[in-house]
Amino acid sequence: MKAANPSSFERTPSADVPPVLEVRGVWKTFGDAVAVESVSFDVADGEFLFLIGPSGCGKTTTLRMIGGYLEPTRGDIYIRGRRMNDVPLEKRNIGMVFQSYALFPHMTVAENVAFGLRMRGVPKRERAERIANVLDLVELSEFADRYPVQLSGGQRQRVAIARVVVYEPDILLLDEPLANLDRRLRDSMRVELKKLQEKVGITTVYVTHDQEEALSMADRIAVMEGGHLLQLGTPSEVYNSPKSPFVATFLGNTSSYQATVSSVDGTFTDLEIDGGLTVRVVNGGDLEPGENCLVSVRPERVALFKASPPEDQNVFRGQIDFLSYLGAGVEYIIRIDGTDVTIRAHEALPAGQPSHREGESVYVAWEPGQTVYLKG
Amino acid sequence: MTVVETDLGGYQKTVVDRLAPYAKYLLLSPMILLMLGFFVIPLLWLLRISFYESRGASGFGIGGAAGQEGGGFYVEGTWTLDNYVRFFTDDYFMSVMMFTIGFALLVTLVTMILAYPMAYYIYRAPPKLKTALILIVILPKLSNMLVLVYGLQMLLANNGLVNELIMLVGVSDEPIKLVYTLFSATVSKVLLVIPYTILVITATLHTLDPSLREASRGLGASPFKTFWLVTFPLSVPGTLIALLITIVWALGAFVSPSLLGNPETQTLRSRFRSRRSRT
Repeated sequence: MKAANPSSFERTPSADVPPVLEVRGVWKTFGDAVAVESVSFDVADGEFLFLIGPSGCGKTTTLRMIGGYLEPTRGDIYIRGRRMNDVPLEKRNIGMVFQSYALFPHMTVAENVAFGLRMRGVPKRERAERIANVLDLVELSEFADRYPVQLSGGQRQRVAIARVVVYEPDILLLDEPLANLDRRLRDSMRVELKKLQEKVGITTVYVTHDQEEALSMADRIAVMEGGHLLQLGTPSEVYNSPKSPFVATFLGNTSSYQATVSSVDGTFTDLEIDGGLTVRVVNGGDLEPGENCLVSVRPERVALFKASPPEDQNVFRGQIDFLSYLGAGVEYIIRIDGTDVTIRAHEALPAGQPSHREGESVYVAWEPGQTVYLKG
Repeated sequence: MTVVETDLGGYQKTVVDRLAPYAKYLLLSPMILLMLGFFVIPLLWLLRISFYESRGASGFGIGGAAGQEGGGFYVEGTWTLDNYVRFFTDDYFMSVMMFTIGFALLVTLVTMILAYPMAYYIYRAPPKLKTALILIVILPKLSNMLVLVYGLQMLLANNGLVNELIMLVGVSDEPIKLVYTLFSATVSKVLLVIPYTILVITATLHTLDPSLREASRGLGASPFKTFWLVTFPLSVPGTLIALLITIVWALGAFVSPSLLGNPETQTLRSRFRSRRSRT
């Protein structure tokens, strides 16, 4: 199935399997407010897609439209090739995991898990078998007769997933499923969830505002802002080659600057940033002198030297303004000498101690190829 | 090893120190005093009086010239179960009591059947309609109970609006006797109680996480099944409280059976009053 809009972000079909989910030019307006504007994407069979963006970017609205909890104002949603727009949500074979888990408090774990099967008329014996299997899968077998209030946050979360996975939905939808867990549990649930998704092989759309979750778990990430889908790609594509300033700054830390192209010289281009500094980037062949653009560099690409910095790199001398100790690493904010320009540098700490102190004079250096530039 | 008492620097706990943790209970005291003075103590006193020997004139008079022979309805300081035996063996009293209970159950049944759907509708209504509906529900409470009952009396009278309508539509050629019947007594009692019932059930429904309903639908349940399997069972505890309020209220029915009922529809409370005014 081909998209009507050629500029939509489509996954190059690696197999002849049609996408499980197709979102085609979907809009959602509430009165005068536009929540989602012309969003299109496909999700392949078994794929783990993340919708990520700040609050109010339209990611949850998009998810709720896929699930049938909201009707699109315009555009179409197809699941396994079938148009879903007017299909009531109980008739769509979708599993939604809510941020609050929404477990039925008056039912035991087993009864909660049985609910979807009962609604589908699965006979009692088969039901019991499938419930046992799925509870085994999420390692909650011995909790089958407990009530949700008797479970911890992580256990409730797993029940919420088991409750929808058990009836083998076409698509699993997750709305910030880890948001209510404490940090340590969140980290371990991230691994478990990813493993579970791979094991079950279920097509999944996951909404979050947490970039770490998205980068660590996703097959592909869709970055949304202000109702628009800005970029869709693999985690490394989105992280390393952002197509817009928003994507560059939203995912991970970055130092970014407004710049003007000063000279184009074969493979390299020199850009002048505010403060009069010249930054060298690898020219993709699309930069002309005098053009404005945004340059950015990731803190982990920036190295610090006490003396004799490498040649053929972007090298500036500066002073360490601020140091934040992060345990596994340390982040420096360096002010370039003679300017107000600051740059972030991240240092992994294999030895346990930061190599530099606050106030120290250092050289910052990074390779021109590590600089990302965005036109306009 | 022996436990050595810690030296508090010679500090002795004063009475105030010891009582300090209980200071919070002072907040309860105005209400408790009120309940004690105007409800519990009089009730206990009444209970005590119920064990006095009767002088035979009437079982219900209270007072009389103290210490004077024949000057009261009961003999102070005596103990007897006669009054209870009389109450429970007298057909008249028993029938009144059975009616009281039956009437309360009828009123409760009708109230619950009408209140739950209304409460559910209010719960699901959009915000503006919701406010309007809640206002409609509590509006009757702004008028005096007697005004409401007399108003109903006029409405249901033989030449009242309801009967005029009945004859206009042609259901009946002559007015149907509505007022001073069990029907009118029930209608007025339900009207008096139902705002509380509706409000309590509405409040209960609003405590439910709306995502539970969404989850149920998403799992494949129709709107009706969602109501029957999720919303309703979860609203049962609050609904039982509403039921309790309704029963208690209906048991104490007095105005409705007196003013809109007939001699057959007399509850214990309305009986008490007529006996007393007669003596």
